[in-house]
Amino acid sequence: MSEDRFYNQVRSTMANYQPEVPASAYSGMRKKLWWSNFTKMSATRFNVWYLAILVTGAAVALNLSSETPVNEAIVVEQSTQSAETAQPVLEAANAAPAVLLSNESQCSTKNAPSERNSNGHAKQISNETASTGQTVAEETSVGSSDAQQVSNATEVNTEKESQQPTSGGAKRGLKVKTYTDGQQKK
Amino acid sequence: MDINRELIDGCIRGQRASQDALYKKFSSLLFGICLRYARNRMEAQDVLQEVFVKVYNNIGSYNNEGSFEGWLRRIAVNTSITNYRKNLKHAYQADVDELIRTNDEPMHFEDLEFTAEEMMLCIENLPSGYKTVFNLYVVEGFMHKEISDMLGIDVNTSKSQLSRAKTYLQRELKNIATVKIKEHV
Repeated sequence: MSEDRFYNQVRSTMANYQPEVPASAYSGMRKKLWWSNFTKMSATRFNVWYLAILVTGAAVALNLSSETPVNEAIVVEQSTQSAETAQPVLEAANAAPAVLLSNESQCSTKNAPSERNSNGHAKQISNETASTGQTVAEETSVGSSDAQQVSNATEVNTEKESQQPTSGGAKRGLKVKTYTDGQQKK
Repeated sequence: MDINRELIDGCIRGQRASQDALYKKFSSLLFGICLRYARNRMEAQDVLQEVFVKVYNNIGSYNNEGSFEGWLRRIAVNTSITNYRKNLKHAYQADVDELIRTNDEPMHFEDLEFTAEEMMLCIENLPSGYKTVFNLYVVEGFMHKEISDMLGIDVNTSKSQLSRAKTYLQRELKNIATVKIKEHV
């Protein structure tokens, strides 16, 4: 048998060979076709590119929305910290004049050490007031006006409240004056 | 031809009914081509699915030059070759020893009739590299130079593989013929 005749025999036999296709091939083909369409760029139908844009947009929106409250919280927190820093100073400053005004008549040599202590404590606190007010003003970069307000508030409150009597725990003391920015101790 | 044209137009518009009709009409033919190149039926199914995906996605590029069936056949063959090249690492496995033993006396095949299934069974059992060259040369009608370009092999390699495939196939057909003769007697 010649080579060509054998080849012709195979060719003629196989030319119209059409085996039965398994049913599962169709469903698999449909899935592959869907995936192919889904991953292909097309403006007319929803595909992976639209999905990517949606996911990216959602991520950016989420990121932005989560960043904004944080910034606001930082500013609020800084303001609160400034106010809180000033608060104990004001209380301490209140205590000393209160002693001075309420217990002035009862002042005696027996209580001198405590007076000195109270006086010294008040002085120390007043110094802290000055330095703290300055620090707050320096640290608050965005809200420098806020810091200035806090500093001014500290000064005003200190001056006002230093004249008000309180029934606090301080026994007695000398008149206290606090110093803030721009003021020199006379 | 008109029916094909309607199917083609429907597929271009993305109509599912036309796609299904096209699948029904040509899936058997294309599955036969895929089976000749694939290592097994599962692989042939995968290739067939890829073929139809390519057909649906590129049917707009079919210009009425040449038969539509020929266009489909070409896509099936190309996809099968792509699949073969993808699996090239595992293609040529222990096939030399099997073919060295084919020194039997040649048989006169012209007197024998083989069904397509019998022929297919023998082709399926060919080593992958031989099977590809044999199909491309004998069934599809490509020349050795074209085959060497398509498969990225030397022309002489293509010739030697075809020769070995023929010998192997004849031996397998001889075995089938022997069984048939015994059954007939």
